Amino acid sequence: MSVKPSRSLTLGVLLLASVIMTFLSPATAGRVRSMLHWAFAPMGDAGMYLTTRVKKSTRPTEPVTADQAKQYKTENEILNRQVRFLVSKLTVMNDQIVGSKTTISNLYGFHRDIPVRLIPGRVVSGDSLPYGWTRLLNAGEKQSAQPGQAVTTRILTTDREEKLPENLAVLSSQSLVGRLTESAAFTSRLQLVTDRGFTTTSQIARVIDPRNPRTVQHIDRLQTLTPLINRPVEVIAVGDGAGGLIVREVKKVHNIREGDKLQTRPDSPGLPVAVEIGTVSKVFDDPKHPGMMTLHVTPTSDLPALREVFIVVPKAGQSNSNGGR
Amino acid sequence: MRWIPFLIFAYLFVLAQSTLGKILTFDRLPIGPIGPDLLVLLAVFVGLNVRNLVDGMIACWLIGFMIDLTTAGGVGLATRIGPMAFGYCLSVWMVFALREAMFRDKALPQMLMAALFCLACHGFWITVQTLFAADGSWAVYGSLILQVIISAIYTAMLMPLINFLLTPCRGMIIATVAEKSRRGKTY
Repeated sequence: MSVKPSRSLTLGVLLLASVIMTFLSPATAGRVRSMLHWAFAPMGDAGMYLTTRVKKSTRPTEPVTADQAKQYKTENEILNRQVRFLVSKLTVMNDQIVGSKTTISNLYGFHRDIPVRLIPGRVVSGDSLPYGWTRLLNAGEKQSAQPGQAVTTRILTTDREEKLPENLAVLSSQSLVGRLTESAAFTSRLQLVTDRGFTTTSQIARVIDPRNPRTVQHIDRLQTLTPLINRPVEVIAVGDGAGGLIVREVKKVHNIREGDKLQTRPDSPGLPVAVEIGTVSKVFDDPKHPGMMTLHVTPTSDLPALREVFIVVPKAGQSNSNGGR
Repeated sequence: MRWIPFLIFAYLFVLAQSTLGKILTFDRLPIGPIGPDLLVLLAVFVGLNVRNLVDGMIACWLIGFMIDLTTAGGVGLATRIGPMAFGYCLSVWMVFALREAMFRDKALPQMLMAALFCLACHGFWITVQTLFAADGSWAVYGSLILQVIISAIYTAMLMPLINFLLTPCRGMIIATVAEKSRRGKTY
């Protein structure tokens, strides 16, 4: 004898299920979500392609006045001449360095490689609600993607508009865009650096401007910042949920300014190189902690238009303990 | 309810929301991203037209559950599954009760109901997720509530358009559409 459940009973069971599921841990919730990535990832690719194209084309730009345009043009010409001169000088020096390095390498055979593997991925979908900054990628555990791994941009010279031979796509500058928080067989979820839940240990690289020198504290005394004493400042950066990152409780003596770079730390096991995350866009005093300041960082990448990425997979033997949560 | 066509519609709406919905989202605002919730529009459409309240609540639970499964960020740690399903389910009850007191064919009442629906379910979701988040603070909660209010207004503005587009497909989703009697009551 079969008993057909009434609609009211079904509704009661569903409501009870939603209450019980609310008390599942975030990790368990992540696993449940991962099990259903497959349902949305394949169909989302075309929509996300269109979305990223529109977002790229609608990127806001500040208006430039006629005077500013003239000034920029003059500055550009001067800088271009300087660049040409420096490039020719650099080429000569590079040739000398390469020659010397080759000789040393041939003599001693020393070689250092960054112990990571880069897995290409593509953004195929986003969050359903507008409050979060996460994306679904089309690379998963089958490609060795695991929660906690860092994700960087992958800038290609071309996308789909032109037909090109295989492997011709050229990579250019890279920046950290986030970290994986969930992974399924063929998909994974990327938490962008601007999400409120994103936290990372990082460093600030101070940019030296000879026209505008700055004084910093170095071994208990104040000195003008030079390349010799310009050590990165270790900080903790968190996403602000509004398209930027916040770095709190940075000592004023470090004299960090707008334009300085936020980078990953080279001693990080997941991504053992200094990869740029963003640029300090605002510096303001911390009213709660005298002698400290708070930094607002604008990400280097255009995150709303993010499309192609690299998942950084540590090679075998490299632990990845500082995950995204 | 015609469950299979309804689930296909819900799936297509989730897909549109998580991909093309980003085109309609303003990402670079100081308070955070503001975007519409297309699923709210489908849920309100169901709430306005379904004959049986329990059917409407089950349908909205399914929509809310799909959102839970496709949302992982926003409040702090990875978000929980379940609150949006619960919120959608209860919010459609409110639409069902309110539709008797309004001219549901008119754009303004539809917009009002979409805004109230969005405020109720998103507000509930934000509150539950903030309560569970280890680092949830009042400042973050206030900022999120402001986002919810503006997103609700934005979502409401799209309601007449979606209602206009979905009305020809009403018979495909809802088996017996609620009609108005001579006394003005809905059956």
